[in-house]
Amino acid sequence: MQRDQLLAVGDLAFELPPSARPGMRVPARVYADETLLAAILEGEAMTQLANVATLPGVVECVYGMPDMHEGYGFPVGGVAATLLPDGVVSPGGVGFDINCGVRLLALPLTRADLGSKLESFVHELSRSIPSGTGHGGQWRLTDAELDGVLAGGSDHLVKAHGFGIEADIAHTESRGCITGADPRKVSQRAKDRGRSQLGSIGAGNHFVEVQVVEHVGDASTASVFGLAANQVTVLIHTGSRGLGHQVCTDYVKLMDGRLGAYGIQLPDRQLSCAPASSPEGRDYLAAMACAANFAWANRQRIAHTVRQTAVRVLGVAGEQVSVVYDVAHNIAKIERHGDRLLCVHRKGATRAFGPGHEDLPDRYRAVGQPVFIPGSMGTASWVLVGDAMSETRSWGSACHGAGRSMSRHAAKAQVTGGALRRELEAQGIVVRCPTSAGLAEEAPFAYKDVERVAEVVEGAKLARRVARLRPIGVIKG
Amino acid sequence: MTASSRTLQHVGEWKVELRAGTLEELFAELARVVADAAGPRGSPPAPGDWEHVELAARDCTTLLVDWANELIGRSEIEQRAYGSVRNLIIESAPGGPARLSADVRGEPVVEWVSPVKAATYHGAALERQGDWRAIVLLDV
Repeated sequence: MQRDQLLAVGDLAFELPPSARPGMRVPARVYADETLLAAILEGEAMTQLANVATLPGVVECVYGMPDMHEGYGFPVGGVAATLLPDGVVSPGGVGFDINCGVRLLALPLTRADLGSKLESFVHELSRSIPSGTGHGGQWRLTDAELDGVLAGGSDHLVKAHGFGIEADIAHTESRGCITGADPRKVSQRAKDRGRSQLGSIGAGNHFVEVQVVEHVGDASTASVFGLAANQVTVLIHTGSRGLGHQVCTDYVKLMDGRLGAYGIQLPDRQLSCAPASSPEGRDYLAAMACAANFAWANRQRIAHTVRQTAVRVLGVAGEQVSVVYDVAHNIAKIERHGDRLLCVHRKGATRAFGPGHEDLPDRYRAVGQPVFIPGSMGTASWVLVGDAMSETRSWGSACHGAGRSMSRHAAKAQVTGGALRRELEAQGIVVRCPTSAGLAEEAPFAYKDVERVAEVVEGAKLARRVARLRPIGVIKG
Repeated sequence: MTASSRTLQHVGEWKVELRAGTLEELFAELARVVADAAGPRGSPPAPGDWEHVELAARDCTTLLVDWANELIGRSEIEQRAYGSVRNLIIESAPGGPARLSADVRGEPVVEWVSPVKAATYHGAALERQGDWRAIVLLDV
């Protein structure tokens, strides 16, 4: 797609009108500056966002976040809402890693307090938290235990198994459990793929990162979030593992076979979908909720391990390791926006509700929702707070990361895992990774500039910057 | 011709082009690609039992993607890489329904490398211009 096909519609917003190509029902708008827009237009991301605008029942506008890049079906960093009850739900609009997301933990320590214990803390975390492909968790769930997790999410994990505290649940999106989950709608293969993976990071771009709060730009909001300059934090990035992958595979195939029955024509089969009110749509939403709940339980289990490790290695009190927030970035949520009930798809995009939203925990209701934009292993991550304007700008959404600018294949061709490890260690970052190739795939230069992305997010009034976190320890999936 | 594969440019995922002289060789090549991505197997090899697979799809392109997903799912559950295929039979009508029957055998992976999550229908293509050529996008 060419730059001249897009219209500037205010600061940091560019729009492809529905007249640009047949089948588009609403405009496709991307939030970016000229530099990020140029990167977005290098791939197929904008074409994919235009494809999303053809989905039956889509309303108002589809949105591309500043970190948007090409994916399959939906672009990564795409947001679309369909009007319920009959607008469609698209498994491809959620993605294979259902409820991939991030959870930020705040530790009651400064970098100075941590001192020379950093290396042993990272080492013990890497020993305690399974990472990499083929490395499952330490717990093989029975059918009954798995069904409990699928139906109850992290709330179940805390209450039934003691893996955490009530405050963890209060500071998790949707309290770590989407209602309507029905384990009977999850295939046996999906259950078998995830059965032994609870409490594990997985591979790809997933990680557990030890960080320090390097800069606080909004001390008041940071204080509400429990963050202060020089404080040590831990960021967990993972999702629903093989269970979620199989749920997506199962329902993409099911809906792909039923498109004709619903008279749906799509420009990309990976957008396969069904009316949310249809049997296929209802079943997917029930299965997706299970996978989302599994992902929240996964991050809860890992957070519990981090807490235990911090107690053992750093000598802190467990209850002083607090969850700042846990937010999904691959999910479809039933949300009320104004007087409309919508199915909001966020694929590589995070919720970013502003102050006063009833879904926020009491502690954050006056300031807005914490939003996290992880950078790469060698750069910063940002904590932001949802802007009141995000509701009208993006269905209350913001971006989920810096966004890839280079393929994994190209990254591996430019640097070896060993060289990258040495480079990161020279910056004072302790690195643990199961494979060198996996490390190279996630090299910092393979990602866009997180500083620019965060600046555009703020300029576009999606979320405001609060604090910047610098990595000091990386456990790579 | 000897079956082959190569990586095509894609920022987020893994796009693979496959070539082979016959449809069966093309499907076997995809099995090999998915298995090799999983990581190195032990030496000497320690293959498991042959496992029977049957699949049906609305067309042969869909069948190819479903075949990859079958092997990816089986691989994760059994913790094996399914690169060995025998008795592979594909029945298909041009543009119409397609069926597959095969025996597959997995080997334990010494060091898992690939985070392949699934194969997608996005841009999936299968064509015959003398030899068979296919494109499959894998989510990694």
